Amino acid sequence: MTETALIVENLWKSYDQVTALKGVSFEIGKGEIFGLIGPNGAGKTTTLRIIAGILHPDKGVIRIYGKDPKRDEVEVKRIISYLPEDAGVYRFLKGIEFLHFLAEIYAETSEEAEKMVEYGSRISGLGERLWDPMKSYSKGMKRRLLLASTLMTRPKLAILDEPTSGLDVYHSVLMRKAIKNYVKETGASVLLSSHNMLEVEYLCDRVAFIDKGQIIAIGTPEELKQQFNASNLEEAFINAVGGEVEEHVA
Amino acid sequence: MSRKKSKLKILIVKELKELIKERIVLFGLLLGPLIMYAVMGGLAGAAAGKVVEQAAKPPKVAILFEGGEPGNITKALAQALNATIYTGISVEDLLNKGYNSILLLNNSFEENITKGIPASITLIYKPESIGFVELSKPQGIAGAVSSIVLQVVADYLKQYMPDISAGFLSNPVRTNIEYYYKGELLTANQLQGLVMGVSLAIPLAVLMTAVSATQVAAISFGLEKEAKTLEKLFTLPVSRRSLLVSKLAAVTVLAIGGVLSYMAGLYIYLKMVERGFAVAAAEQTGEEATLGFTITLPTSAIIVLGIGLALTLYVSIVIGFIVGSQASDVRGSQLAASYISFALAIPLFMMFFGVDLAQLSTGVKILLALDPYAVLSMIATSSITGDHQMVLTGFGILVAQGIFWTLIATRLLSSEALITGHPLIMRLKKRMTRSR
Ligand SMILES: Nc1ncnc2c1ncn2[C@@H]1O[C@H](COP(=O)(O)OP(=O)(O)OP(=O)(O)O)[C@@H](O)[C@H]1O
Ligand SMILES: [Mg+2]
Repeated sequence: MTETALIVENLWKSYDQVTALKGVSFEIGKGEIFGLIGPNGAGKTTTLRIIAGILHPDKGVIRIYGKDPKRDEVEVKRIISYLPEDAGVYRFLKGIEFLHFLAEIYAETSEEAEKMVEYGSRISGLGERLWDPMKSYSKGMKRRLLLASTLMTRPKLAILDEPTSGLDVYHSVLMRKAIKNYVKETGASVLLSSHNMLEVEYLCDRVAFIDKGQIIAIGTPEELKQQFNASNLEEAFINAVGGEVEEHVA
Repeated sequence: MSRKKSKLKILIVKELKELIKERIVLFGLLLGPLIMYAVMGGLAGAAAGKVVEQAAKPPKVAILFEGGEPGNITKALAQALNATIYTGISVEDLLNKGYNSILLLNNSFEENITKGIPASITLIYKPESIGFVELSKPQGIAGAVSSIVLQVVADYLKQYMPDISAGFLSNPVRTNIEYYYKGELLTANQLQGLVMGVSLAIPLAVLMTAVSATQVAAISFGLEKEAKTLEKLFTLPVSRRSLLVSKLAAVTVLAIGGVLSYMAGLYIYLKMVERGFAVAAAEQTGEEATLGFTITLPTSAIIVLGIGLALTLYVSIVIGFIVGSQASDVRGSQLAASYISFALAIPLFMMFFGVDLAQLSTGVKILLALDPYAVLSMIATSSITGDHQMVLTGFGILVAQGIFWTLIATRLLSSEALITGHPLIMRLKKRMTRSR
């Protein structure tokens, strides 16, 4: 058995016109929350989609708990769970039906499925609204349900693309706590992307700065602050991407 | 521990739950045909009552005799038609008296008949309305005149030929017509079955069900695209093939629902028309009336058509998936599916307007072989004329089409372009702008 949950090695990916990833490499340990931070268009979503098995890399190696997702596709998908950046919901399904649908796909027994739904319902915080069709949910309600459905299947690696985007402060805090608790309880690993430095400092054990398709720094928030001579992660990030903000403003 | 439900079943149920509530599916496919036929049946039934009512109303006939005294034949006619003979009055005046049918007779009419020369008479008819039944009433009166004259002649001839009947005179030889069609001798009934079954019922059935199936298949992808649920769906621990199969199964269930709705609707429609006739006729005559036509198809033809329709349905659904995977939302997928269906239906329209597809050039025929609807109509025709080789060829073509489109669909479904953008269309656009 390996001590790492995820190995990403030299990922390259081009779309029709742009090269989105230019040799991205990093590792995530078991029980670790790992944050991918970078400006818009840096390649975060592309990286997460490749790891989730939705896109194929042009080049590079991925190992999830030692398994090759290309070879053991269904097996790997069973131990991961992915929250897409701009995921939507089925219009006519009720929230509770959606949770049941996913639980039955992932669970081995119906008891296990019931437990998953119970857990998902709880962390979604939607209460009675779970029995309404999902098209009646607000943006934040949809996001909470989707995040809950992602954690409820008990993935060994949860891949969360901007998990709290669109959530109010109160629910953002609740969701972060849910993610942290999940890792504490299960020892699972989380890979997330975020634009919220507060969130990253609170949640992440280690962080990677990504810019223009390349990882420019990796470390704990403390290490990064030291490396870039900054008092907080935001400053470290700005310094890391080359102080471009001042240039733009000036 | 209880046993786990099959993944495929879970996917199918989710698919059905989501699709069945979509307005286009619910009303367009499942309830639409039923409602449409019921409304049409109600209208047609009411119209049938009117028709029977009109037909039952006897015309008021007057005979206007000009030039001299009416003879025996004219008097016999008047008696048979329950008409009064007038002389020396204008047609207008007679119409004003409330008659709507005026038979113009004169001396030469009687003279000609007694000499055995065909006579020509004029019937002036004032229709109450411009409708089929109303306009065919003068034909009835003219027929009555002919048969009465024949009766008179027959009575006269009986002196010389005691066995002769008016029926013999009116139709001395009965001819049974058989049609030589594509190397087969067919009776009029069989040919009627061909015409009714192939050129009307089958294109309609195919269009209704296959077009809806294509639409629903396209919509099932359009919904996922619009709701942005495909990305999550693709990370579930099930194979892409299971996803395709589950969608296929769900759409098939709905398409079968559509076919049943269509058949039930057609049945209700026919019953309502029939009832319309029966009720109106019963009011008029106190007797039951039945519908005047039947569609007769041999059992073997029905089985062959069933297989053909199933294959066509499969091809239509897979084409719908391909179309839907290229669209970005429900409306787009539906619109694209409509265009494709319309294009595929063109050969059927041509058949409907009497173009014999078998007469077309080889090049056009090869093109038609790519069209599942055209192949099915070819199978339908061949099954009725008993051309087994053509039926098998048709099945072969449909199976080949099914395999081809399934391969394309599986390719598209495993393509990541489904997530990153408009797969084919975007790529073509890019290629075009780049080459400029
Ligand atoms: N579907 C696509 N087609 C073409 N190019 C794409 C597509 N998706 C992403 N890209 C390009 O790939 C690069 C990386 O995009 P990506 O979505 O991974 O960035 P990101 O870091 O997630 O950005 P954001 O913070 O805005 O979510 C960008 O230059 C983007 O324009
Ligand atoms: Mg992104």
